[in-house]
Amino acid sequence: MRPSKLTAEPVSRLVDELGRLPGIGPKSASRLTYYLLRASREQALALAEAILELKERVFLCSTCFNITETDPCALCLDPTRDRSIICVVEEPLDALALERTGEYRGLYHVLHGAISPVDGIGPDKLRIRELLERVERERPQEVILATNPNIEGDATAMYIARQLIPRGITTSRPASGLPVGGDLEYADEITLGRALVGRRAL
Amino acid sequence: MGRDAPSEQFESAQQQHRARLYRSNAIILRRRDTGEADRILTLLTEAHGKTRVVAKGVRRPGSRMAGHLEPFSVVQILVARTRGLDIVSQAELRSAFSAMRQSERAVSTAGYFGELLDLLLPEEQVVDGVFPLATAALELLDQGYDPRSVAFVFEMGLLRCLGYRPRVDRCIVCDAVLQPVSNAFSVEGGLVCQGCALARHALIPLSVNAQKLLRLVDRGEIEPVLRLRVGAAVWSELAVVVHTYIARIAGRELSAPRVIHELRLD
Repeated sequence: MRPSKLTAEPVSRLVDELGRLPGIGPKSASRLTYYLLRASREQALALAEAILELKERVFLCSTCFNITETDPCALCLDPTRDRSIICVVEEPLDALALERTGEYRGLYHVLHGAISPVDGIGPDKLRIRELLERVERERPQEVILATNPNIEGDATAMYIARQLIPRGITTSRPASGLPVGGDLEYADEITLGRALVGRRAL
Repeated sequence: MGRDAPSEQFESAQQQHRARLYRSNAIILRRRDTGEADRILTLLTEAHGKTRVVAKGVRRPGSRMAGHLEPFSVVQILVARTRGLDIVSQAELRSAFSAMRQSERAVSTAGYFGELLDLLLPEEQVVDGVFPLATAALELLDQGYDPRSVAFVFEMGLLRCLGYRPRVDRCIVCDAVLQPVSNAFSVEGGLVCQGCALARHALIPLSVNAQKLLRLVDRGEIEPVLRLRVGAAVWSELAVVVHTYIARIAGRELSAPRVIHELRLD
């Protein structure tokens, strides 16, 4: 926001900072700022402390590169997890989504992105080298390539599979198909095609 | 009549502007996540050239549009005009180029096309020939032609559409007919003969075979370029020339070729 005689400097500074957050435009940024201006001191401090703690106490696990407070992270240390299987995901939130299914008991590896030539993102900008080193070290039986089922995710999975298969590691990719509650009529041809190829006996 | 023409033009432009919906074939060039589950797409549309639109809710697995809006596919879209970014209201896949998606080299070459089109095309302006060129290039990738040859044909076609067709029959300095020897390429826009090349800097040497390919494409002889067995060395010679020339036109380095190199697909 442009500084004006009507707005105090700390106000316009917070509006600017909030306006940089994803999904927040100048109007929302002003609304949040004026809300905080009227909120209690405790509430504002709690928010400020939460942000500080986030930056000071959270970092990446040196094994799986998920976000963590301890290194290695709690999941990498958990003795009940199946160490023979590593699931590769693009973002920490993807690991969280898989965890919520309760169907997976193995370990994770977070790449922090996907290969995208159009955006200038190559394998060197992701945690792929670390994955290959980890696979050499831990020798899992299987690596699940759970990158997103889109063009970037597919390209990333193909690239990693090309490195892992010669090392004798089984690689797999989650099935893709029709969403639960979906409508065949609206399915695109790629999804429908993959769903047919991957059909199951009843 | 001469006096009426501008006002008629103005009215038809206004009418077009007032149309709140438009339908067009489009290629998705790139996309970026925004908001809770939305994406901003950069499209090459047949009707309005390069444009940016919002696709609402497409990151949710249940989205009916998501599968129809993958990069480098041809879709028919219905777009609602708004005061801000236009919104995709319907999308239907026309060509998914599924075979192209199975090949790392082909799909990363498509990514390179996306970068070139986004970088070089003006916004909201139709450049004649670009949409059919891009569609044809994706089809060739899908049919399994060598992505290096498809990329070369596409690059030269795009440069021609944009008015940057390099001169490849005569020396751009002295206008002499080029001899069948190793000449050089200048980012000023064409080939330079050996004599003139001696006195100049920043030229890229080009072998006789690479020059032949330049001339074939320049004459519109696409089939032979796609079918010829060309060595890797000649392709990298041409890639250096074309990337340097395009970087000069665009005013910045290209990033997709660097990523393709990193992927070590050879």
